[in-house]
Amino acid sequence: MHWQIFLQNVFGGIETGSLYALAALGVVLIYRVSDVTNFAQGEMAMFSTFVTYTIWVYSANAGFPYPYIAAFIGALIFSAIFGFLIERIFIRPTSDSSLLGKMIVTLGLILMVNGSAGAIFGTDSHYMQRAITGHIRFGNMIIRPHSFFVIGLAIVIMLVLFYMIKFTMFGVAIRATAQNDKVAKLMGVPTKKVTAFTWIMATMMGAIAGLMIAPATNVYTGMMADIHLKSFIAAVLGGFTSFVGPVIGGLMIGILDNLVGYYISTNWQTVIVYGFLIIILIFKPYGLFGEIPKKKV
Amino acid sequence: MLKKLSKVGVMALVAALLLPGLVMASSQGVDDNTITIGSVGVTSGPAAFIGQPYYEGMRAYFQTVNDEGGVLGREIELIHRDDEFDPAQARDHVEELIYDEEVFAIVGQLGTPGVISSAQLVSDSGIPSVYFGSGATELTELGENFFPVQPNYVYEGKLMAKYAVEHFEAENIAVLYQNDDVGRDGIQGIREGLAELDMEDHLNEDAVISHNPNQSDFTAPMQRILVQDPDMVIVFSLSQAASLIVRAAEDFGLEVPMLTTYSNADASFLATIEPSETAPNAIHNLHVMGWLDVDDESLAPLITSMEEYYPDSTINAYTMAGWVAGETFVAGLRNLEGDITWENYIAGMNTLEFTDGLAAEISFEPGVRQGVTFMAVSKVVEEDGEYFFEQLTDFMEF
Repeated sequence: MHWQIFLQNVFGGIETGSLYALAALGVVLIYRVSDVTNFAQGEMAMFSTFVTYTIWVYSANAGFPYPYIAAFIGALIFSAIFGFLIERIFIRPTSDSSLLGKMIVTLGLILMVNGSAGAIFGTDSHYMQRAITGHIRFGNMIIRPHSFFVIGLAIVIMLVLFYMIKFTMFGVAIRATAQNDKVAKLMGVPTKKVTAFTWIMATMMGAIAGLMIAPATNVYTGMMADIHLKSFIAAVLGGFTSFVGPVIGGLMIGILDNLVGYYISTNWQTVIVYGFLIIILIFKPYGLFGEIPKKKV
Repeated sequence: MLKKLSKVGVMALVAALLLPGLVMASSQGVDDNTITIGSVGVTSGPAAFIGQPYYEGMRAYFQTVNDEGGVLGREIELIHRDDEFDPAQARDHVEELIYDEEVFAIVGQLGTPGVISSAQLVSDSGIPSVYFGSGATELTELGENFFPVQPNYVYEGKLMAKYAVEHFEAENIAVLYQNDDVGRDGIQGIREGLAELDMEDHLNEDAVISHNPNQSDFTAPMQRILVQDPDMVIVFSLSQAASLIVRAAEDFGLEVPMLTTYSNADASFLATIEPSETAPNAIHNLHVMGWLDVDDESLAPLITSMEEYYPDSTINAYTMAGWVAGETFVAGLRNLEGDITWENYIAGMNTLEFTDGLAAEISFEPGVRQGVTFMAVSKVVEEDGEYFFEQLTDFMEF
C-alpha cells in the first residue's frame, strides 16, 4: 500500500527528527544566553548517557524494580553536577575572552570528554532500551509508542523553554544577560548564576536527549557524532535564536531524509536533502524562525 | 693522474654514501638479540575498541614466541604508534618507524585510511609490510613487499554471491551496503561474482540499496527492501550499522536469511544487537562470513597466552586478528633462508604456505597478493540465552 509506505517513512522521520530537535535545544539555550556555540554538547550528552547506562545496568542487576526510572533520575542528577562543573572549571574562567576563544574551549572539551569516556567506560558499544518498548502494527505499518514519547518530550521541553524565557523573571535575567552581561550585572542581575544555571539546564537536556537517542544508536563513544551534526543543522535551519525552529528543523531533516531515501535515491539522499536545506537558507539566512538582528542607528 | 685519482675519489665517495644505505636497508632492525618491528594503528578515541584488543592479541603472540626462545635466535620487539585513525598521522608514524626507528618490518598496520595513505612510502622504501587490519582491495596491487592476509572486500563479495546462489539457493537477492569504500568494494564483488557465475539476473538493481555509515534510521532502506520481496539480503555494513539493520529487520518483519561481512564475525557484534530484547526472530536469520578456522584446539594457544599476559581482557575477533598478524610475520621469518634481510624475508614469504594458525591457509606466490581466499559461513545460534556464531558450511574458495 503506497500510502502506508509514505506514512511509515514520515513516522520514522518524525521520530529521528525529534532526536535531532532534542539534541539541538540545549545548544540553542546556551547560544541564546552567551552567544557561545557549544560544540561539545554532543560529547557531554554522550558522557551523561554512559552514566545513565551504567546506572541502568547496575540497578537492573541489583534487582531494582524500575531500573529505567532510576537511570533517568540518575542522569538528571549527574548531568546537573556535570554541567555545573563544566561551567565553573572551563567556561567561567574564560568569560572575558573573545567569543572565538570560548568556542575553542568547547572544541577542546570534545576531545577531553570523549577521551575521558573511552578511558572510564571503555570503547564497546552497548544496547540501551527504549523508554517505552515494543511496537504497534497498523497493517504493514509499524508505530513505536517510544516515538510519541520522544516527540512529546521535545515539544514539552520546547514549550517550557519558551515559557521560561518569555514569561518568567529568570527569563528576563537570561535575556538581559544575553543582551549585555555587564549592564545586566550593574542592574542587579546575577549573571554568573544565570550562566551557570543555563549550562546546567543545557547539560540536563543533553542527558535526556542522549537517553532517547541511545536506543537508536547504542551507547558508545561515537554515538552522538552524526546526531550532533544534524542537530546543529536543524538549529541553523530553524533559527539559532528560536526554540520552535530547531524542533521544526529537526523534523524537516528527519522526514526529508526518509522520503528522499525511499522515493529518489539512498545514494543521493544526503546531497539532495542538504542541498535543499542550503537553498532554504539562501532565502532565509537566519533560519525559518530566527530573528533578524536589528541595529539601532 | 690527478684526474684518475679524482674519478676514484668520486666513485669511493658515491660508494661510501650508498653502501651504508644499502646495508642498512637490507638488515635494519636486526641485531644479534632482537628483531625490531613496527606497527601503526588506532588505540585511542572512538575506534579504540578495534585497536586495543587487536594489539593485545599481537603482543600476546610475540610475548609467547619470545618466552619460547624467540625466532632465529632473536626476540621480537614491537614498536607501536597510535594514529588515532587519522591517515596523516599514520603516514608520519610509518615514516618514523622506517627511517628513524629503523624497524625490520611493518606488521599489522591497522585501518584502511592509514594503510592507503602510507602505501607509497612503504612501497618506495621496500620494507616488508605484513598483514593489514583492512580489507581494502588496493592492498592486493601495491607491490611485492606487501603481504595482505585478511580477505579483501571485493573477493568477499564474490564469495558471498556464490554462497547466496549455491548454499542459500537465492534467486532474488537484495543488497544493503554502507556507502563508503568498504560497502562499495563489497557490492562490486557481489556484482562480479554473480557475473562470473552467469547469474546477474539474481540481483535486480532496484534491490541494491545504500545507506550512510552513521545512519540511525533504517526506515527507508528497509521499506525499499520489503518492496523487492527478496529471498535473501546481503548486508555489507560494518558492525555499528549492521546491528541497527538487524533490529530494523525485526521491527519490519523481514524474514529471509541475511548474510553479512566477516568484519562482524564476533560475539561482541551480537552483544551490541542485544538479540533477546531487540531481534529475537531476526537474529536467527543472520549469517556471517568468516575466514578464521576457529575451534577449541586452534584457539587454545591464544587463550592460554591471553590469560597469562592480558587476564582482564576479553578475547574477540580483533584479538584473533592481531594474533594472526603475529603468526604471519613469524611464519615468514621461519620460512626465511640465509641472512635476515628484506630480500630474503620477501623471498621466504613468496613460498609460504602456513596452515598451522588461526586462518585456514595463508600463502603467497610472486605477484599474487590475494590474502586469505578460503571462507565459510556461520549462523547465529542461541544456548541458554547466549548468542554466538556456529560454522554452518565448509571453507570454500570462489
